[in-house]
Amino acid sequence: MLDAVLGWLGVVLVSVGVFFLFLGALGIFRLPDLFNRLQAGTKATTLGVVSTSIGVGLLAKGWLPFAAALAIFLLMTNPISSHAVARASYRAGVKPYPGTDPDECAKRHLTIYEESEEK
Amino acid sequence: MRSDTPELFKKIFALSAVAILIVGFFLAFIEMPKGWSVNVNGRVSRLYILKNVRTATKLLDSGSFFAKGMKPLRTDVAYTPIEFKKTANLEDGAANVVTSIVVDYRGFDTLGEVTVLFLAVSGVMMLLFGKPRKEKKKKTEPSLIMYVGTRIAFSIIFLFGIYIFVHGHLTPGGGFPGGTVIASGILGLFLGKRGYNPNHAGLKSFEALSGIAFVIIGLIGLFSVNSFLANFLPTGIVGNLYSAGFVALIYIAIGMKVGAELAAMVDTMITDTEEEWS
Repeated sequence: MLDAVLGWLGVVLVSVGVFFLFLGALGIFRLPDLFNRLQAGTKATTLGVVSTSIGVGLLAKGWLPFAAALAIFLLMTNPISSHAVARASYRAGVKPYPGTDPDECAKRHLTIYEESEEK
Repeated sequence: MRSDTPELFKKIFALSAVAILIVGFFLAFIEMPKGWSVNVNGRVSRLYILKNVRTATKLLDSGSFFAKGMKPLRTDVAYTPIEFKKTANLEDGAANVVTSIVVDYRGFDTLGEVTVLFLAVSGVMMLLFGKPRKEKKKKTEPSLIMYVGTRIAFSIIFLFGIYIFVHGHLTPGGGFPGGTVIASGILGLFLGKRGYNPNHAGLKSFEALSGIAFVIIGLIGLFSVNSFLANFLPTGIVGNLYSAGFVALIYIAIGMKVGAELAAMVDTMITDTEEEWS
């Protein structure tokens, strides 16, 4: 009974993960600029990969520790790397999509930059 | 610079070289032995030809394993299947056959590969070292997220790199991928904090010591088994962590050397493009 429940839970998790991975791929093609694409490529794929690996761990007995370790590592590093890429490209002068309004980062970024100039 | 050799001689030389290559290829193709046979009784070939040992044993016993025209080279040795965690005293003892070939049978070649990497890295460092770029990039301090995140990720990446090269004789991987993983973790540390300054003398001496350790292991083989880089340790049971003799030792030396080397190269490349900061 428990095995069957865990197995079906794994199937549901893998399906959710595959759906979110598909959304991430779609977003990378459809969204207008780099920041929106990064958002699609990070948020959707983080949930997708974590959900898929946990589902596989539930389906195949004995793989759950490995899947959990993989999920924790992805949860930790994926947002950090995406943050680094977005920050670096913003500082390098990549213009956001004009529809991004208001650009909250611009004002804050400007004040921080001026402070560092004064020092 | 123009050479004095006439163009005609060059053309004749090139044409004859191409002709020799084509003729040699066809000759080799014609002279290939007809039919095919596999030495199933050799210890190494058994390990990687027969993936499913039990099925293959059954097929061998019933005489239906070989295709038409295919016959075992040796029939005088009794056939015994090899099983992980049970069979002991194999020729090399590494569960990963690629590793046993790269490190054991072709150990001298791997020493050459390490030298190739060393030469490439020293070339890059010679070009970059001490020459600041004309246009220095203005760099801002990385955010706190990067600083904390790279530091946490570095420990895990470092551990994973060590795992890769310690288990080189059991799983895919080995010294070169393990060292590269460690160097990528150190690159993360560079990205996390501006002006991150590793211990240069430590990196250099670490690299040199691990390179010397490789040669010393080879010399021990030379004096104990009368062959350079010969496997002088007991090979143990195939599939265990303590098996395959000196393969793990060599891979630990290679991994440390590659990691230190690539980290030193990353350091040279990053600190040169960075603005001097006080």
